[in-house]
Amino acid sequence: MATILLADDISFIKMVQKEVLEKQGYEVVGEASDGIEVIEKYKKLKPDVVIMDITMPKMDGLNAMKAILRLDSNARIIVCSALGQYQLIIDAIKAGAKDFVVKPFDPKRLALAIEKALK
Amino acid sequence: MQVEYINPFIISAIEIFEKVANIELKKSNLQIKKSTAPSNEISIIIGITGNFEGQVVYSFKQHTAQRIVSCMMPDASQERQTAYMESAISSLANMITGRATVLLAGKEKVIYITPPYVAIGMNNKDAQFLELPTISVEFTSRFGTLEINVVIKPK
Repeated sequence: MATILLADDISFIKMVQKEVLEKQGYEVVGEASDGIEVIEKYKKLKPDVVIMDITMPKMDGLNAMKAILRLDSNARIIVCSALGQYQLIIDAIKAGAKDFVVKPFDPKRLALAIEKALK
Repeated sequence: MQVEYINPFIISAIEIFEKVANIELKKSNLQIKKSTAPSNEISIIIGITGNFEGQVVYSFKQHTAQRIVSCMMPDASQERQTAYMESAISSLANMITGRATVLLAGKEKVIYITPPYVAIGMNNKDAQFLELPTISVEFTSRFGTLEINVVIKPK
């Protein structure tokens, strides 16, 4: 069973993501509410996939993603953000994101992004 | 502030409410105010940075917010809906603002938003509103009104 770490400052979003992912057979092993916390939890939990918001306190998701990729170049990170702007999507993919899912997210789209990242 | 910058927020609010809460919003009023201070007791404040700068303030009455959240979490108990109320309406504000930035940014610009700040009460001293000419849009729904106050300009 693939393990997932969720990073989003809004607890409602993490609750919905967790419900959706657990129904699809994934194990949510941790949750973080800011960019610093997700880096710490990544080091500790070594999840198979991170679902990362961009807008977060302390450190934004794009910088947190870059920091995680410096620690582990094989980290699989999917950005899930309401900021689905063309340039941000390009920047996120160039920086190493496996995919970019725009909120409000379609559960099937998120599952597909995880499947693709795990291959 | 140019009036055309308000349209992405109107389009996004209607679209996101329909998609996330299955609630139909209708624009009922548009006016200019002196500041972004809200007209209702629950407000969500989001800052805008990057190639645009400004602030967006969403506000609802308490009972309207509760009923919106009940539509977002129809299978949850009332206790759970209450526990998630601030967070759920924050997510709505985040998604509306995010969607509006997509419409404003086009292919070249980048717009960031701040994490939502929820202010409870009309005289919340921790809430920081902008004393600038503000476009205020009011929407009606079957659960009451939503006000969106927007100040935004290119940087």
